Amino acid sequence: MSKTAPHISLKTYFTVFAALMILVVVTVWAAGLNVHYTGFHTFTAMTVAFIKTWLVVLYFMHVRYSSTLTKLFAASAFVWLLLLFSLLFADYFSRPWLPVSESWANPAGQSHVDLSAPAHMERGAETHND
Amino acid sequence: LSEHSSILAHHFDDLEQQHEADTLGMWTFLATEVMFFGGVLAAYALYRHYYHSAFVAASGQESIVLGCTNTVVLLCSSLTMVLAVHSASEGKRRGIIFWLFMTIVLSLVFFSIKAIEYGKVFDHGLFPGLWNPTEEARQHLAHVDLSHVRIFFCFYFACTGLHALHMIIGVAIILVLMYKAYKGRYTAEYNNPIEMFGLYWHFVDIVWIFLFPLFYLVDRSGAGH
Repeated sequence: MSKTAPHISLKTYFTVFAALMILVVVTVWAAGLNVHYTGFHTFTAMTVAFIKTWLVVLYFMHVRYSSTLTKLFAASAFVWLLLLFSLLFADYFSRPWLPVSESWANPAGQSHVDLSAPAHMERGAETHND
Repeated sequence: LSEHSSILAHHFDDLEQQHEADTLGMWTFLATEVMFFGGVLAAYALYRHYYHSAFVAASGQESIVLGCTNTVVLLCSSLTMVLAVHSASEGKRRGIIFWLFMTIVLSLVFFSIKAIEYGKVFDHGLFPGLWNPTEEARQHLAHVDLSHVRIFFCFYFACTGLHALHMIIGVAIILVLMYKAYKGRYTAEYNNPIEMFGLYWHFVDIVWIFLFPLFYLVDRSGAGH
């Protein structure tokens, strides 16, 4: 039995399950907190979600008891996810920081172009209303 | 080794190597699944960043009670799944069948709650394909751009729909596993399919762990709920 599947006590499973239940309560409670720092709610919600994922991956999915190669494969999934998000947001978040020449910022004599959102998104908002 | 010959594929040296290969293959598949859902969620994150107020208002249309209940139901199904894997590791045939059956029951509870939720969105005319918001919905969403709300519901149905599709496939596989367990195919020595399916089921649970806060809990304090 120990040759194929790891043997983990039922107590471990129930403890992890109890922790997951508590974290569900925490995430709902935190979402209702009257805090107005930008990104606070997203940050706490995602932090709790990653803690829950960590518990499920390590114990329910047995990664803690698996070979180093399996650990590497499991971790690689999240590393690629991190690359996807960091490169995508590095692009979009940094767009308003760039110095823009007058001809770009003022293409058709408009007084102001909001570079915080891509132009096509803003146009879509106007023409497809409803 | 003659006893093992039926459970050990001929291209493996021993059961341990076979188990390691199965686990690694499953994790490779799950890594592609992470990228699959990751791409959709990255697009969602971007739109949520640009259309924040509309997404907050649209999220306010969702019921936290239903979403939270479904989260608890899915986490319970992860527990029953892990108990099925545990029974399999001890070679308990009836335990495997019972806990797999409980996992299906919890999935059906999840689907029922999901159907109520989808029904509510359809009733309010907020399904993107049949977009016709009712007066009541329009009042709730009066301060934001409705076209942005529609994008929120596109993501809502795409993400929860893909997640539900994974669960439906999962339930179909559980039925096969239950039949094979009933036939006595899984013993303490060999139960890889149960364990590998457990990995899939927990992955689907992890997807929901992210979908719940992302779609139901968007800045609830500001939305006045």
